[in-house]
This record gives sequence, C-alpha cells and structure tokens, in this order.
Amino acid sequence: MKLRKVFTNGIINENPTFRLVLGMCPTLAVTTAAENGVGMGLATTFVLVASNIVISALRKFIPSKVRIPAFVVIIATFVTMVGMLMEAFVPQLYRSLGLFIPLIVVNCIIMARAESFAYENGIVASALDGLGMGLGFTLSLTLLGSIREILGNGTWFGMQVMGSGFNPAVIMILPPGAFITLGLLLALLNKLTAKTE
Amino acid sequence: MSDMLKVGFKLLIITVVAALGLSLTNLATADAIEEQKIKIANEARQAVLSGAENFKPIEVDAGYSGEGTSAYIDEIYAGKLDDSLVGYTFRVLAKGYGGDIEIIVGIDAEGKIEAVQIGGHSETPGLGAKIADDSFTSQYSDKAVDEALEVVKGKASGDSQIEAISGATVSTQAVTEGVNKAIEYYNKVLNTGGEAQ
Repeated sequence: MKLRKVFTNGIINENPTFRLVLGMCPTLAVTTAAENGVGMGLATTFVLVASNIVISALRKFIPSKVRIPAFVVIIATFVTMVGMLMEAFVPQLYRSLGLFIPLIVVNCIIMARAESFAYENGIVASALDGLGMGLGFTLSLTLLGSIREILGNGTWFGMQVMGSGFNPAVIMILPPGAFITLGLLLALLNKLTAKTE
Repeated sequence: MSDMLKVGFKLLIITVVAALGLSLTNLATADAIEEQKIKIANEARQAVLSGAENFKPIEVDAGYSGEGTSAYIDEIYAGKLDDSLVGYTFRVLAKGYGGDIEIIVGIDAEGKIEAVQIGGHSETPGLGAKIADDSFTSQYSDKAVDEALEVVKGKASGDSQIEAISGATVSTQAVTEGVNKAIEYYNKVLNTGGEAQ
C-alpha cells in the first residue's frame, strides 16, 4: 500500500468512528462539547502513533502467542507515562485532558491498529497509519461534539452561536443525544457513500 | 517446553522494561506533580480569598465533619497575609442531584462571603451543571453571613436570597446548603464573641 493511502485510509475509507465503529465508549461519553472531542482525539492520536511505532519496531521480537498481553503492557505503559509527564510539566493541559487520559487505555482503536497494522508493517507506515486513524478519530469526535454542543447548549467551542431566542435541546448533551447524533450521522454517511459508489 | 520458556522470557523482558520505564518516569515526575497539586489547591483557595497569601489548615469540629449528612465540612484553612488573618476558606461537600458537589467558600474576617467556587460535581449537563458557572456562583459574593441564605424561584428580592437555576432546584439547594454550613460554622465556632480565632 502506498504511504499516502495508508495515511488517508484512517481519515476517510476506514474512519474508526463512522466506518469501523470502534472506540464507541469514549466517543459517546466525551462528545458533549466540541472542545472535549478535540482534546480526546488529539490525546488518542498521540498514544496511537507512539504505540504503533513501538509495536512495529518490536514486531520481530514479540512472539505471536503472547502478542496481546505484550500490546496491552506497551499501550498501558505509554498512557501512564504520558499522564505522569503531562501532570508534572504541562499542568494546564493536564487539567483539561486529565479525565481522558485513563480512558485511552481502554480505547479499542489502539489495540485494533496494533493487531491489524503495526504488527505486520514497517515503522514509517505504522506511524502514518496511527496518525491517519488518530486524525480520523479526532475529526469524527469534533463533528459529533459540535453538533451536540450547538443543539444542546447553543454554543460552539464555548462561544455563543445561537441567538437568545434559541431554546437548547438539553437531551442532545445527555447520553441519549449521543446515540441519536451518532445514529443519524452513520445513516447519512452510508447514504452519501452508497450514491457515489 | 523450551518454546514456552522462551515466550515467557520474552514477555518477562517486555514487562521488566515497561516497569523500569514507569518507575524512572515516576522518579522524574513525582516531586513536580506533588508541587503542582499544592499549587492548584492554593490557587483554589486564593480564588475565593484573594487577599491571603499563605493558608494554614484548621481542624474541623466533629459536629460538622460527619459524613452521611446532606452537607458537611471537609477542610478549613485560615488565610493569612503577613501573620494577620484575612479570612477562612471552607471545602464543603454537599449532596446534589448526581452525587457530591465540592464547594469552596471564602469568608473574610469582616464576615462577608468573598466568593464561592464549585469544584468537582456530577450534576446533569445543561441543567444542574450550571452551578459551576460564574453567573450562578457570583450570586453568593458579598453576601453578609449574619443570616442563612435561602433559595427562591424567580427573581431574588432580599439580600439573603439566591435565585434558583430553572430546572435545577435540587442542585441550587445543595450548593446553598453547603454555603450555609460554612456560614454556620463561621458564626458558631470561628467567630464567637466577635473575635476571630
């Protein structure tokens, strides 16, 4: 596969949220605001790229019989280190992202990319795959968060975008709103891609 | 058998390296994290009692620190500037709609609430979560502590009245009850006989 295609694959064709439907727990939980979507997406991207690189570099060393526990150890170690470093040296960022860091460990996108891509491909391709998947995840979460925040709170990235006459539909930022928005977006994207094919 | 040993050994190496990396990271960050935590706690206290520079913990009377009541005082600090008392900060936990609400109250030595801030809470987004907004907490600023505060629906008319957030009376009530706990403690324990301890 061409490297450029590896990169764009995660953003469009195999978008983790809308195509692979992976990592639904953080997707549904944190998209109450656009800003949270960006934060969670970027933190995940960082871990995804790093764990893909490490796993790809160690793919000859890790025996396939115990590859899953090895992946779990590597990913969890990485997430914990990132959390500690952020808390110590960039406390401002940690305060706004702190909640999301432990959630990354259980994000199955990272596990899925380690298993299906990094374990079988070179370092450069794996890093690009991580970056593409991560950005695809970030864009999806930001889109979901934007829709929910605008309809449910009348704001976008914290700025007031709806007039004072707008009565926010609070259900959109409650859990049901996450399912409704995700379902409608999935349906819309399926319809759009069905036409172009 | 030898294959199993080899696989186990490789997994051992991975986990040992991971543990080593984690302990080194911990070694490098533990002090900085501890410092950050103290700084954040101090900033939270300074935000509700701006005149004070150093804070000294005070033991809370057993009658007020009891868990199980709907609101209890967790921590009290005496805020000082060059040895002269500026006021007190209270960390109160009150039962809200979705769980405990952390309320930081600052009362100055003249018997006025300087500010109230909401820490951690799990109130409903869009409804009860509005207790953390400045537009709500600013209602408590500059209130005298000679009488308990009271929640009203609609416009507040008296000095000791707090306007409830529409649709979130329980959350409003909980915060007010927490602030009242601090007021009561200030009047009955800290400021008896007109002379602050």
